[in-house]
Parts: sequence; C-alpha cells; structure tokens
Amino acid sequence: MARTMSVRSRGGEEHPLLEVLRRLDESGLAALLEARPDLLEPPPHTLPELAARALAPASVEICRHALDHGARQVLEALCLLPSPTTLGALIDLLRIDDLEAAADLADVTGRLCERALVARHGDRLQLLVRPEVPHPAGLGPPVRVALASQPAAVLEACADRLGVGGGATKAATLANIGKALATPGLLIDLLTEAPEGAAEVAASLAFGGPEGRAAGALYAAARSDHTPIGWLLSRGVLAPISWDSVVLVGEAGLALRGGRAFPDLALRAPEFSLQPVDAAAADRAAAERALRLVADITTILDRWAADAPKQLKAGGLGVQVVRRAAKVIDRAEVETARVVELAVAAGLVSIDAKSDSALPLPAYDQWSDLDVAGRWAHLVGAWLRWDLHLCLAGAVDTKRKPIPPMLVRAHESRAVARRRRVLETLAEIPPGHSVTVESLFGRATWDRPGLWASGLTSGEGLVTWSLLECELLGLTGLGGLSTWGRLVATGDIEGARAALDRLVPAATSQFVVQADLTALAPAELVRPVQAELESMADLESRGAAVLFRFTEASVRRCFEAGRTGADILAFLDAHAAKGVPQALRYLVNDVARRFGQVRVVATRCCLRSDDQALLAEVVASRAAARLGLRLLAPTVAAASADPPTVLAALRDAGYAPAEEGADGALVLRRPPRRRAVPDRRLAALTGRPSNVDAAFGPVGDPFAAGTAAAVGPAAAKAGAGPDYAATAARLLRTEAPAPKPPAPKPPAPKTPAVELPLPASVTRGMPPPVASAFDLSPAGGRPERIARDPAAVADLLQRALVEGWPVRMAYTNKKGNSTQLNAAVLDVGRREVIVELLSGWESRVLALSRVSWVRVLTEAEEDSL
Amino acid sequence: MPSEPTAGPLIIQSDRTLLLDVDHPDGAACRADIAPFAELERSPEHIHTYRLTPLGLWNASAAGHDAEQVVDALLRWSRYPVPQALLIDVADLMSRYGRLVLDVDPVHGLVLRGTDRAVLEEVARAKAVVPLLGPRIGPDTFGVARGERGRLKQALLKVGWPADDRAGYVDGTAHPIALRADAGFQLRPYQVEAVDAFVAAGSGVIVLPCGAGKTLVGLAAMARAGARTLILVTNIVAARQWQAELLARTTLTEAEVGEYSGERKEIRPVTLATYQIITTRRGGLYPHLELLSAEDWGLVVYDEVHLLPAPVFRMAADIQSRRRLGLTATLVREDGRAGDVFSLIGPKRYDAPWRDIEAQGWIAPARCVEVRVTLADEERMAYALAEPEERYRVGATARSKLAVVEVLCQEAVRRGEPTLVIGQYLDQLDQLAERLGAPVLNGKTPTHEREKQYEAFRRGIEPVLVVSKVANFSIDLPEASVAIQVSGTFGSRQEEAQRLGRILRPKADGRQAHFFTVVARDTNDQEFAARRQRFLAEQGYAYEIVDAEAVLQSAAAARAAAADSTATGLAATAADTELAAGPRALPGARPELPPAADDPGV
Repeated sequence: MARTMSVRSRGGEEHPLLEVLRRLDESGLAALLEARPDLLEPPPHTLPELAARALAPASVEICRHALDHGARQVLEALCLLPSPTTLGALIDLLRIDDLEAAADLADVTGRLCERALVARHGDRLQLLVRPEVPHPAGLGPPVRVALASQPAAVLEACADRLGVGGGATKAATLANIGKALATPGLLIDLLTEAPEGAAEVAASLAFGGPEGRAAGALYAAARSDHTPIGWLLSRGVLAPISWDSVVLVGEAGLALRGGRAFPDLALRAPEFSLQPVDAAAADRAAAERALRLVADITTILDRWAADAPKQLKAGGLGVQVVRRAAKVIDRAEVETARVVELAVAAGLVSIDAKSDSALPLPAYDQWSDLDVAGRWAHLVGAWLRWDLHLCLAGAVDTKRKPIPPMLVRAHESRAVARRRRVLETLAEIPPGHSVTVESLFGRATWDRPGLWASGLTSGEGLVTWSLLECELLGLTGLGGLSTWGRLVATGDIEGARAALDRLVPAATSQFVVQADLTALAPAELVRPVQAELESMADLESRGAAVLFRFTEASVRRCFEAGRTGADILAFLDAHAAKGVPQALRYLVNDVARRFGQVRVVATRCCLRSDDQALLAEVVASRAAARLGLRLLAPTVAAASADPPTVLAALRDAGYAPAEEGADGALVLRRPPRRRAVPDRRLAALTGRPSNVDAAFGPVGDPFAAGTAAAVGPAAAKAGAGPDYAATAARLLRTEAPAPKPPAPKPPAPKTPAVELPLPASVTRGMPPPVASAFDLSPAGGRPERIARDPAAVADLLQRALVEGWPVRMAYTNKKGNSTQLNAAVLDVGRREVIVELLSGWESRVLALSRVSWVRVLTEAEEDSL
Repeated sequence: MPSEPTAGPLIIQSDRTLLLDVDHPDGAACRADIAPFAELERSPEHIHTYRLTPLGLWNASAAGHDAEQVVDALLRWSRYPVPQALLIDVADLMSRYGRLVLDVDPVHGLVLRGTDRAVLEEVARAKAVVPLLGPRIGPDTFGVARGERGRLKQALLKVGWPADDRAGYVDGTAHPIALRADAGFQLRPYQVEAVDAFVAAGSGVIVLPCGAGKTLVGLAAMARAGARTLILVTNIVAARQWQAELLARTTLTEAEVGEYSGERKEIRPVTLATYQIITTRRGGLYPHLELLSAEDWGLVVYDEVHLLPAPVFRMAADIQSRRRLGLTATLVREDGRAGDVFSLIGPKRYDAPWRDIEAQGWIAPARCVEVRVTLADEERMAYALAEPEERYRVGATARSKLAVVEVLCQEAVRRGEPTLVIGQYLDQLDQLAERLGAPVLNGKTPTHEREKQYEAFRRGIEPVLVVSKVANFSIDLPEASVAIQVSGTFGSRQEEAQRLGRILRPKADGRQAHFFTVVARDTNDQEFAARRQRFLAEQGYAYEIVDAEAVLQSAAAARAAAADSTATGLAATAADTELAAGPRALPGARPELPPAADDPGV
C-alpha cells in the first residue's frame, strides 16, 4: 500500500500519521485540508502522498506559523516530553490546576489534532511530527544532550559539585546531573552560594531564551568557580555550545521557572476591553471618512492632471508636493502621503515615464465614472491585495527622513495577511463596541504571533498601521468596525459597497445658483452635470456639498470650449433648482457679446496697399495660392509665406512690392555682397585697433574694423610697426640663452603693441625694423622655452595663437586637479584662453591664471599626435 | 433629531464653512443655534455661508457658550456625518478661551492666572508675551503691569490663547446722563438687547447694520454708564450728527457736550473727537491722543470700529480699564485687524443680521439696480488710450452717464423721492450738479454750508443733493430714498455698503428705497462694480441689471405719454424701466416733505 518511503520508519512500519489519516472520516480530512491549505498544492492523489507532504518540514513550519499562541505553547510543551506521552504529563508540565484551563487545553489539543500535528487516543498523546523549533518553550537541550560532548572527568567533577557524585558510566553521570538539576529547589539553593551575578545570568537565560554569549566560554569552564559563567559551567547549569556561546540546560531552566514550562501560559485568547459606542454614530463617522477619502483622491489627482509634480531623483514625491496636497485636502502630511499611496495601490496614478512626474492613469477615468460607493469599493479591493504597508509612506526612516509616497519599495509579503488579521480581529468585536489599540494588539498577537514578530516596525506599530489604514478607508468609525467594514472582513466587498451606498447621499443633477454668482450642489453632482458645470465655473470648495463660482474668465473658458451663450443658459435653466439670477444671465450675455470680437490670425507677413483694386488683383493672381494670400480687409491681405519669399514671388509676378519696417518706413535692401566669415584665429590678431592703425595708417577708415578682420593677416605681413618689435624681440631672444623675464606691457597707447615679452628699451628706443614678413612665417622655428609666470604664459599663448602652433600646457581646475593637455589656441583674452583639445576636438575656456605652464609643441610632437 | 441623511438644513464642509439652507423648514431654528459661534460670511437668497473661525468660537466662549453646545448644534442640524476632526478642533479651540484669566488680586493688583499650568508655562515662554509679563507670583500666577493689560491680551490672542479679561473697569468720573422721556421714541427690542449685552460684559462690540440705530445704542449705553464719555467718530460731520442726537435725545445740555476737532478743542463731560484729530502727529507724538487719554473717562465709544486707525488701537491698549463700546455694521476689516478689535475693544457682544432687521421693518427694504451705460465711440477710444492708472477715472466719469443720471433723477423727483447722487470725482460731480441744478457738497464745502444744505434737503427744499465721498459715513439724511452712485473708490465693498446704508433708514410711509449704480459697460468700472457688489450680494441684496438704453427710451416714452396723462405715463415708465417699487408706485410729485420726523432709527 505504502509507496512512499518517507512515511515508513526505518523498521518498515508505517508512520503513525498515515494511520491517523486512514482513520479520519471525510469531514475530518476536509478540516485538515482547510486548516493546512498548502497540502493541496498540487492536490495529492493518495493518502500516503498527503501524509508525506504533511510531514515535510516546510509544510509543518507553515502550519506552525498559522497557529495561535496557545497551540504553539502546547506544541512546544509536547516537544519537551517524550512521545507518546499522557495528558497527565502535559498538564503537569504546564502546571494546569483548574478545570477551566484543562478544558482550554482540551480545545488546544483538539486544534493540534485537527492539523495532524498530534494524535490523541484517550489519555495518550503522540506528537506526529516534531517541528523544527530550536528551543521549545525557550528551554535549552536536556543535560544528556547538552553535556554529552564533555569529557567524563569533567562531568564527574560537575556531579561532585552538585553533590550527587558520578555514575558508573558517562551516561549514568549525565543522568545524575540531570536529576540533580531538575530537583526542585536544589539549584536555587546552590545559587545562593554562587559568585555575584551568577543568579542573574541564570535567570535571564531561563526567562529570556536559553542561549547566551560569553567570551571564551570553554576557557571559563576550565577555570575555577570565581566568575559567574565559570561557576555555572562547572556545575552543568550552562553548557558550552561554541567557543563564545553557552546554553542553559533544559532541566535548569525548568527548575528556575519553578517547574512550569510557560510562565506566561495563555491557552485562551485574551478578552477585549470593550467600550460601548453608538453603532449608528460609528457608521456615520465611518461614512464621512469613506466619502472624504474618495473626494480627496479626486481633488489631488485632478490637480496633478493639470500640474503634474515631478518625482524626486531618488524616486517618490518630495515633501513640498505632499505639503501642497495636504493643504488642499486639509489633512496632515502623513495622512496625505497615505492617501497618495492608496491611489497608487488602486492603480489610479503613477509616474509618467515620459515626463517623470505623477499623472493619473487611464484607469482613473473609469474609476471616476463609478458612483461614490463603487469608487470606494475599488479602493478597498485594491487595498486588500496591496502587499505594502500604506503607512510606511510618510513614516520616518532610520535616518530620520520621511519616506516619500510613490517610492518603489520592496514588497512585504505579510502586509496583506496583517491587514486581514486586524480586520478579522475587529470583526470579532461585538457590534456597537470599540477597543483600544493595546487590547486589539493583544488579541491579534495571540491569534497569530508569527505575523507581528518581524516587520518594519514593532508588532504594536504594525497593528497601529493596519488600524490607521482601516480608519483612512472608513472601515472603522469611533474605534469600532462599521457595517461595511464587517462585510469587508468577511470578504464581501460588493455587500460592503451596497451598505455604504445606503448612507451616501444620492447624486443630484440639481444645484442652486445665487445672486453672488455661486452655484451650490447640496450633494455630489451626477458626472455629466458636474463636468459641464466645471467647464463654466471654478470649483471653490468640495466636501459633502460642492461650491462653484462663476467668473468672467470661467464663462469665457466655456465659450472657448465651443459652447454658446444659449447653450450655457439652457444648461443652467435645466439644472438650477431655484432659477438663474439675473446677474448671471448678464454675465453670460456679456461674455457672449464680447467673445471673439478681436480675432487673432496666424500669418507670416501681411500685404498692405491703399489701392484696393491692386490688392484684390494680387490676391487673385496665381502667385497667391503658393503664398497663401487672403484678404483680411480691402487694404490688407495676410500671407502664410515669409517676407523674402513673398517679395520674390511678387516681383517675379511683375509687381513692385516693397518691404515695410515696424516703424512704417520702407526697408531698402541692396543685394548683399558675399564675403568670407573671418577665421577666429586670424581675427584675434587683427581685431586689435593698434594693428588696424598700423595697417592702414593714421587715416581713420570707417570700414577699418570690419575689413581688417578679413585682410588682417595680409596687412600684418605687408610690414607694419608692431612686427618690427616682434622681430627684434625674437632676435634678442635667440641671442640670449635663457628667456628673459617678460617686460611690463608698454603703457603708451601710441606704441604699436603686440604683447610679446620685449625688453622695454627695444620697443621704446629703437626705430622699427624694416622687414617683418618672415617674422610670422612658420620657418621662424618654434620656441622651446616653457613659460611659467602669468605674463609669459599669456604671451606665449598669444604667439601660439598667431602662429597656429599647438601647445602643451598644465592646467589646474577649480577643484585643484592638475592635468596636462595638448591644444590648439583659438583665442587669448585678458583673463582666459580658448583652446581646442587636440585629443577629441572639443574646445575649452581656461582661466589664464590657472595655467601653470605652457610650451609650444615641437613639429615632431605635433606630427606624432 | 434628524437621522435621515437628507434631513438637516446644514451642510458642514471640511474647509469649515457651514452652508445653511434658509428655505429648509428647520432653517430658522438652525440659524438661531449656529449664529452665536459661526461667522456669517455670505447670505444670498437661498443658501447662507457661515464659517467657523477661532475668533468666532472665542466670541462664543466669551458669551458663555461651551463646546458641547456647539458640537451638539452641529450634530443636530447637519445633513451629513460631521467630520470628526472638525468637532475635535472646535472643542479644542473653544477650551482655549478662559484657561488664562486676567484678574485683580487684592495684594498684587493685576495678575494673569492660568487654570492650566502647562498653558501658562507655554505662553510664559512665547517670545511675544515674555516682555509683557511681570514677576511670577505663584505657580499659576504672573503679575502684570497695569499699562500692559491691552498689549498682553493682544499678544496672547496672537499665540492662540486668548485671555478672559475679568479685571473689571474703573467707573470714571460720574456724570448723570439719561435718555429723554419726552423725545417721542422708544428703544427697539434689539437695541435693548444690544445695550443689555454690552452692559453685562463691560466692553465689546455691537454689530448692527447701517440704519439700524447704532447711535441710539450708543446713547443708551452712555445713559447706563452714567459717567464722563469720550466718543470717537470718523469725521467732523459725524461728530455734529452725534452732537445733535445727544442734545435731542438725552438730558445733556450744550454746555455738557464738547467737540474736540480741528476747529474746536473743548473737553467736556461728553466729548466728541474725530479719528483724524487724535491721530494727528506732531514731533513724533500724538498730542491730542495723549491729552484725551489723560482724562478720567468712564466710557469710550468707538463709532465705525471697523475703521479704527492703528494709533487709536494703541490708545485703546492703554485704557483697558475703561469701558469700551465699539459700534459697527461689519467686523470685516479690509486690513485684517479683526483680532485687534477682539482683544482691545472687546469680543462681539451683539449681532443682528441685516435681513432680519429689515424683515422686522426697522430698516427700509431696498432694491439695488446696476444701470449699464454703453459708452459713445469717442469715449471708448479715450478709455482705450488712457494710461492704466487713469482708466478707472476715464471710464467712471464718462459723459454718457450724465444723461442717464439726469433721467433717473427726474423720475425720482417726479415721484417725490429725495435723491442723493454720490460720486468720487469732483469734476464729474460739478458737471452733474450743473446739469441737475442741484447743490454739490464735497470735502471743501465749509461745514456750516454743508449743514445748511443737509437741512434744506431734509426739509425737501432741495430734492436732489450731489455729494462726494463725504457722504460715505455717518451723515444722517433720514428721508433720502434714492441713491445714485456714479463712481466710487475702485472696488471698496465697504464703501458700497455704507452708501447703501444712506437710504436704508425706514421711511415714514414704509416705501422702498432704490440704489442705482451707473456703470460704464466694457470698462474696468464694470469690473470694480462687480467687486463692490459682492459684499452686498453676499448679504442678500440681489442686484438687477438694466440697460441705460431701456431707461432712456422708456423715459422718452413717458414724456410723450405725459402730455396725455401724467398718472398713466408714470405707470408706464415704472413698468418699463423696472423702477417701480413693487405694486405701489407713487403717482405724482409730493408737494413738500414734512420736517424730519423723529425716527428712532437714528
């Protein structure tokens, strides 16, 4: 029969679980599957297969996780006892002494049996599978296990110290030690003689988990009794488990607890501390919250649709955005963050990838078409499935910074379960009552200790979060579950929608328009009416009632959307419950009268002529079609082509058009003469006025500046003043082995000044040399010197610019990083130099003061680049 | 208690506005319940808007209402569930008033006492409050210098913990004043209520609409105080008006009433001073203010308290031990210093809505009409080319208005309605005066001349009076029943209300008053007019709009018909131009109006 080895013990006999399963009737089996739904995935074919699955550690762990606190305690207690055991032994271990508690114990064991973790035959209890709990009941392993690895001599010494003496065998010694430690009172008596601190260590391990860290536990064991840990180790109360950890042996732990396995045994769920509330009032409060939530989401998303806020670089929405939204909906910022997060959960809003800002999704429009209760139900449905805690948005992270909403966060698989647990726990409260958070937390943790153990905040914090979410959605009111909240807890969202719908004021299509130009709808407006009204009036306040204000601008907006005055008045007549006041009629008629009185026409240029016949002819001509000509008035025509095209086309067609400037005068254009665009490097040299003077003599020529740019190099080569000086300088330099310090710039304005390092005597005293043409020729050879001081750097760069030599320079940027670069000089200014990098061809503007040195590249170097 | 969602008359918005459906069967009861703590913001024809503000709630606290009453009223009348947060806020705000008390200690004099030590500690650390507190006397008590009483209250209000001033008042030098029994008038019930409310509290503000008889409330309060009284008024004309009233209706004689103004400097048991004179500065000091502050007044009356200039606030802060009465038609201050009125003059003690008093017949029903004049082409061009800052003047003083004003005046005169033409620009007023053959009064008109003209107008000798903005405040023209406004101070809502107030005195024959605003179409005159009207529209005055062409045409038709029969022609006019005062259009001009009747509304 048995096909799976795992359900057979080594001896070949069947696992007791299979036996138990075989004995179950259909309802019992169904109850097992309901309690452990993971066994059904995929559905097992045979009982042995089911048994094998039920014994798998993973499944056992899932089952244990879903157990309530009482069942967990009993299960762990059974782990401490030999299996099978008796009910009496269990009662003894748990120290149950009254009938009520015994009945609770029977219930708990019933739950364990139902889950096929325990089998019960009359008084006999058998643990069917041992869950992998490191320390059941928080007690360490028994002496026989914990001290098994200790040498016999150590154990004997230990037994002596306990006053029981060693046994014949190691096992006997261990048994003696165990028995001694388990003897009531013995350990406590012994501890009175222990060194200071030993009792505290023992107590903290007995009640707060048996493992502890103690540096060098093994060495301490070898040493004498003087340290607390050493004392405890040498008596077998503690056992070393690694080089720095110890464990309190089970017998000692139990003895210290007074023989009671659980000091905090809680076989029954804690009672709620109930406070009565008016159920109707609670429903009204909850309804108010639910409706407000829907209205607030609408308000925020409508605003964002018009003005989408950007997301932060790190993701999520900034504090400013949240603050603004909070102001609009009059909620706290933290709460607003949750509202936004909920809208995200409901798939109503997202970050638009194109604009990187938060925009409503298309689903928002479908959602908006639902009635209020429907919109709310959609939110609730989404919330129940959303595997993130809404409250994390707006909470403070570990760096004390608020966590922004709409941040992509790691999913928390338990968020959904936590939410449902809180809802279900709330549903257990009798209607018309509320409870405190503490009371709710107590109950929720008893029900599912596993849910709250590890999370982003404390267990109580997690319960509070879930409660806040319920409150935000209007599932609770005045601290108790509302009628629809109760239905949501049972999973009946449709029923909840209907229940809320009964409290929602019916949407109306009528509003009241008053003489102060406001329109007020006492309840929500039906969608098309609301949309139409929004198109012609500004929303002033939204809440249970909606208030609009008509202004000239808002009415004009409606005209721009294509309505006419008659349309607007007809709409108002149809929906204004108490008539349309005269002032509003006037406003609409006024706007109607003025709307479109001034027309804006898009043109590229227009034609004007006093001769109406001529203009009519032009417009009718063949050229007109190409130019997009049309008459605006008898003397004005618009064209869709630009002025030069129109002028050319009309000239071609035989007309004599002229262009008119903005001042009304004719614009006369001579045909342009084509000239080259000056080269920058050349311009830099020739752009200097002194050069121009030199080139063209003292006679001022108004075109000098313009033409010099074009003819500059030639002029320079033609032999003018400054070149003598430059030549002289070069000559001098070739004489001198080392470069001389640069002279101050010649102050006299008349002196033709090329700012090269010249000795003052040269420029001032000597007559200008005659020849200069060769001076600028590349044949002159490149200087090899390295310019280091600022003036020399500028001069060398200037020369490199003139000559077109590439340079190598060292440049320190603002951050203090120094780099060397090869570059062509494009321009030298007073403070900066513009260069083009030879690697990569990009240009840079460098501060002259930051150039630490510069030299001209040799031809060989230039070629190799 | 209504439990159905559609039952209550009140809708509570989350922005703290309360929308009251006045047509609802419970509307009136609900209004009575919420009026003490909610401030009426707008009261157009169907749905009134109230707002819950800290000041409004503290006013209610000061009047002895508690948070439970407020919450209860909101819950009882609300149509929909009330936001829980709002209720909590209301309770929290209301509980703030009275936790700090200014009191007199027999040993230490003026003290600030806290019933809640945490609050006392909080305010004692507030930067604005610290310099105003004296030495700490006990765990719950601070000494306060007498002179800082007002400033401390101001500072405490700013930090959100308004103090309850129970330090009492000095009685001032006694001076018996009584209302004359033989003057042929009686206080109206609401006036009695207002005076009682004031006397019980010792100081505070009475809010009554224009024309509801604020002056008389002032006189009655003086009679109850029976002490030397300083009355601060907006201008000299108002001062003379008060003086006339004082002499006519109280036992005071001319020797007992002094005027302290630019012209005269009399200090008598009852002294009238203008805001202008006491805010006159010389060498960085306010000599008149100091002189008057030094007197031992038993009562200081602030007329038009919403116009109180800043230096007067300073004086009010210095005389906190005197009884103070503020009179106003509106607590809306365009400078937003409503909080200072609350802390320095006192909380609102009595408030009667405009419409209620009108419904009771105490002020004349009024019809407001906006007449739109289409400008001639050259005027439109002039407007289009005007400098932006000149535009309003160009639009508002367009000559096309003159013809319309003339027709309206003729019609009014024909029906025997005393008519005021009010404008802003003197040139325009002169043109009008010339065209209408009526006297013109402006700021330059000597006071005796002004009073002469008023008297002539009162007696009906002059049926039409052209006035500049001197008529905005506090002149009393009992029988003016038509006002034609041709231009104003841009968009001032307050001015509009004041001008309407000119014609709201109840008429001897109970006829309706008319308020015409002549506006140039398609100019910013029209925009400003709309802005000016907003306040009155919110108060329930619906403006009708009429085209000037219609007025002119029907007037022409009427003139033609008048040749046949005066009576039928007028009826036709009335029907065509909608000038009729309901069904009782008055045929024919009245020969001469009787001398000013003794009207208790003064």
